[in-house]
Amino acid sequence: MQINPRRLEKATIFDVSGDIDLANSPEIRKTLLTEMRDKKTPRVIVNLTNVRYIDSSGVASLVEGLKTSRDLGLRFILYGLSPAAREVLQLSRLLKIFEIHEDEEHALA
Amino acid sequence: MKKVPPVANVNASTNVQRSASSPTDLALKPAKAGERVPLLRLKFFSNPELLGVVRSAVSALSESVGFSPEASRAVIRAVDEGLANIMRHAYSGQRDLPIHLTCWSVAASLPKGAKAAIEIEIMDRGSAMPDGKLNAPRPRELSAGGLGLEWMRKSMDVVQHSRKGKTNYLRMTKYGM
Repeated sequence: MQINPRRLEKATIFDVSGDIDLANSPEIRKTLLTEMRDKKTPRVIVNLTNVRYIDSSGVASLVEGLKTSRDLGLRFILYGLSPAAREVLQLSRLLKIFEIHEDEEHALA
Repeated sequence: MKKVPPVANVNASTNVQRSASSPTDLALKPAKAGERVPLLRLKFFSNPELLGVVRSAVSALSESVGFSPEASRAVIRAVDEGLANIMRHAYSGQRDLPIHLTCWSVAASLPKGAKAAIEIEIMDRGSAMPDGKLNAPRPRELSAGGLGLEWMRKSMDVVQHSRKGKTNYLRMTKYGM
């Protein structure tokens, strides 16, 4: 798994690739929470286009990101969900809780 | 990158011979109702870095018995979450303790419309799962706890947990349509 930030004027996009599971979800969580708490970036966007698999600890990290963004008055956005990612958010009844867009253009609009 | 210890032992049953002519090999399925064909047995350590290795093996196997991509994803998800629970809770994060995973193809009592079924047993020697935990509902919508168990229940047709002596047994069955 790799997570790389692209910093724009009022947003940071995190490009994630590979599988998100118990081995690396703490890194995702730490990266997202640090961005929000330390940098107060108004819009934190996670690009999941190249994520083939995400487990419950990965989704839990995204939920923590969402909660933190709400506490700090920031926006937390996901885009590029694979069928596997969409399925697990559906299973968890979280699909409508997150702000989800099809692609980067809509996430930045 | 963290160094990954070698997988202790990976051996597939000898009757997992694939036909070169058929992408969904019928030899992996039982010939008659009631038969249970052993397909795969993996022994590995409780290191989360190995979860991807096991997912790859289970993915290839479920596709080989003719499961749809969606049904395969459900099996992979349930196995991965079962293993993650063992690593986090039963073994409290210790990375060098044994886990055994066995897969069978079963033909007995297939529901109408099902083309195949996979039965999976995962064994560990860790602490016991608290009574009622497997079927406990997830507390709240935005609660991260309990997600994995909920996914296992929703992804598989049968999920059972038992403990005999000091061994935990997680048994799961999926009917592939």
